[in-house]
Amino acid sequence: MVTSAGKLQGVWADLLMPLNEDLSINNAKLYTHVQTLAAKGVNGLVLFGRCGEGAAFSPVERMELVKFLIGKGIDGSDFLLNASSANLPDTVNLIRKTHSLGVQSFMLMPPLADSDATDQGLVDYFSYIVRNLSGLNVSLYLSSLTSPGQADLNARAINELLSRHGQSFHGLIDQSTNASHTLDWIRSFAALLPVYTTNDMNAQVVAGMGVHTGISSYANLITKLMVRIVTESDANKKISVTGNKIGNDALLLAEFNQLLAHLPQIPALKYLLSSMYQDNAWLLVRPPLSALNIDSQEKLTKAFKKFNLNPNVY
Amino acid sequence: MLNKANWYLIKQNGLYHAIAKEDAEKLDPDSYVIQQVFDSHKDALTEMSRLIQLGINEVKSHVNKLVDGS
Repeated sequence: MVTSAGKLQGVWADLLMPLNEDLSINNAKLYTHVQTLAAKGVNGLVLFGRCGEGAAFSPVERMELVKFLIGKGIDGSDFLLNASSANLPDTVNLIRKTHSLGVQSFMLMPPLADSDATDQGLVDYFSYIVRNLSGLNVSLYLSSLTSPGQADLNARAINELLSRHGQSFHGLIDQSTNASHTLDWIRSFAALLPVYTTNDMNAQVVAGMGVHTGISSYANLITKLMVRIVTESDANKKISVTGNKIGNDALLLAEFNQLLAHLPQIPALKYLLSSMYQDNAWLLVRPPLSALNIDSQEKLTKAFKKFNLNPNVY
Repeated sequence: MLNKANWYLIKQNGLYHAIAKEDAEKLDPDSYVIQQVFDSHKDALTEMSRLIQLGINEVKSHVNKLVDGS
């Protein structure tokens, strides 16, 4: 949840989206999943993040889901909503409308990766959003793209934004899978505002540095393990025994990560969740993504069975 | 984040149980896995029936394959 200081704490699950045959969101199944994650210790939910296939959903669809979940009694402060879209008015409108429903925290990414984007253009883009939200008590989190490139936020643009609108931004979200990118951001900005990573493998390193907050896609599946990895000190992490092998949480996480190696992450995670819940609604993805092919499904099923899925893990 | 669901569908020793939240909290947390949680007992039981039916279908199909192969 968002603290009085506006910081995220604990594990925030980057929610996967169950879909109906017509590719609309299956609200009822998502709600049950949300409740299940809450029962397992997740602190908050990232809506329409990378794993939530955020770019594939319109502002109206995002708003409708927020309305549904809040209507079911979930507190708006438990959401971090990805409000990024390809244009400025949609982003501002989505924030204004969902804020009126109770959402307080918003994730903002650079718009579509356009190779002609400039640092100044990105500064202007986010400045426009901040100016058009003046008077609203919102917490904004600047986020990198998943594949850093010329159109992504860099240190110069971030410094400029923080010097202009320091009070408006409550944290930086690093979505890159590159550990040195995460460390660079922590070294450069952690003194100014919190830096969070969406990479589950980086989360344990960051936790070791005393930052016990992470945005986790793996928490959709191995919830208890991710909660321990992110929030607990090393002394409280579990030792487990699989056959005649002694392991610990870090090894379990590495094994799980290895299962997904060389597979498209979102379809693979959704496939595993559909196996866990035995429900095909979790198997569907929105194009241009596509579900895992049968060969990959069979290999993943075999590997997943070998993985030590005990009550300590999920 | 507040968990408002009152009914837990759990798997313990290979069997599904739909139990109240307060009863689940009395169990050793390492002795069971939370399958899903629900607002009502009826929803938890409906999901439990669905999972058991899927299990039955799987066994049926396995047995049929063995019979066909013999």
